Amino acid sequence: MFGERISEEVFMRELLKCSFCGFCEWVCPTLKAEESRLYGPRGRVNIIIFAIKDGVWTDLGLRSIFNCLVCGACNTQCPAGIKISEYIRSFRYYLISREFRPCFIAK
Amino acid sequence: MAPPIKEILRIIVENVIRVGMPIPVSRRVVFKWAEGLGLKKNSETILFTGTLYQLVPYITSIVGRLESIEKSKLSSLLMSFGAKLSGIADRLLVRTPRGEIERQYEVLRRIVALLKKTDTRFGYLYEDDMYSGALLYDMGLDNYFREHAEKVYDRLKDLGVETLITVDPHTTYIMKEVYREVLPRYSLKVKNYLEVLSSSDLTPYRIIRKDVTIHDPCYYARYLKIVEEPRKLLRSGGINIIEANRVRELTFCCGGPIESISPTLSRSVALMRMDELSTSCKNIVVMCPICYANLSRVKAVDTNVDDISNYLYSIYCE
Ligand code: SF4
Ligand code: SF4
Repeated sequence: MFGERISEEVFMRELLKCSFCGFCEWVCPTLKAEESRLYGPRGRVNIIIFAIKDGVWTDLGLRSIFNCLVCGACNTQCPAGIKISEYIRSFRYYLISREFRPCFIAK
Repeated sequence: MAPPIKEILRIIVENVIRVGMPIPVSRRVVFKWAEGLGLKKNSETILFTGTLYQLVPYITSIVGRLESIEKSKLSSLLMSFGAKLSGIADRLLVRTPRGEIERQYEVLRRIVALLKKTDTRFGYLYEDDMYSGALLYDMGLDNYFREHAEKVYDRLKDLGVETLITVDPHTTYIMKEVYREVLPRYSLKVKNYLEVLSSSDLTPYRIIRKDVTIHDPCYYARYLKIVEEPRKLLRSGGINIIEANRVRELTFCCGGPIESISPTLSRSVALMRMDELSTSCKNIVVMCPICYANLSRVKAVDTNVDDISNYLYSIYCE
């Protein structure tokens, strides 16, 4: 799931497998440290889905995506087999290559 | 107020383009530790440090400063002039404690001493020892990562390298899994030094009766499945492992990967992990310089955080 190889269709196809059961949450270090549910894997899956599907985007969402440890703990828990951390990392690239692109490092 | 994400990303990219590493240190910092060890430069198999152990003391200094800015009342003002972060990083480089740099150099020297106990013949690239690009990849800076990976790979091939022996989880994962995905022509073999040691049937030089607990790094435990090797090596030398609450595949991150984006959140995660580990045992074994740095900054005075290579050296080397 590197660079331009991941499309919006792939994000949606994979992340819409999420049933929002929340099993992934208990292992997430950043969710334990922060009050907002957006700082957990289920929250991050939601952030990505709503950003791509409806263009909903907030500063808190941005911080949450870049504050993920990409530690992979959530992946071990997901009954739908979603490689959550890999999609979060890839979504950073999606942001950097689109509206979040820092102009001085545009690439 | 947390450091501005775009600014942090810009600094990382600029540094990697300018000096090949995320922190602008001199090349000598990378290979100074190997002086006097007599490692050959030309070898098909090389010890590839990925520069992480060498850079960690500098990263720690910068993170400490970022954390105090994050807490400061002046933070929003400072952060609005985000470009100043580069200046802060530059000034801190000269103030990084000598003892910490030497400590990390000693870890690398001990890894060399351990590898010399095996049948594996290996060399070292000195000024051509390189950064893998791990942070570019983690942050989703994929195009910069690809460019960097191509440069690193081309240089390694020019030097006739066929096999890498890696020493930390991040570099191992990047060189073993990610380069293979990103560069279709990639052909290097990658082994982690713990795998090399574990498959070498080393005989302990001395038995050490000590209780420890292990902090599995996420990349070893979940991504690379290096879990039994360190345990086998420690147990063979008499070490008693008291397993903590979350270990192996279910290990809990040290918080290190977000130390530059959110130093305070990173510290909160480290505190939770330290609490779990130190409840099991006050001797904590780590296997990654980033885990070492992030757990060390929250440890109590009666708790000892030490790299596995120091234990293994005491067991297997005279
Ligand atoms: S990879 Fe990110 S979302 Fe998943 S458990 Fe780790 S910090 Fe939480
Ligand atoms: S465990 Fe999987 S399916 Fe359940 S909320 Fe998390 S991502 Fe969605």
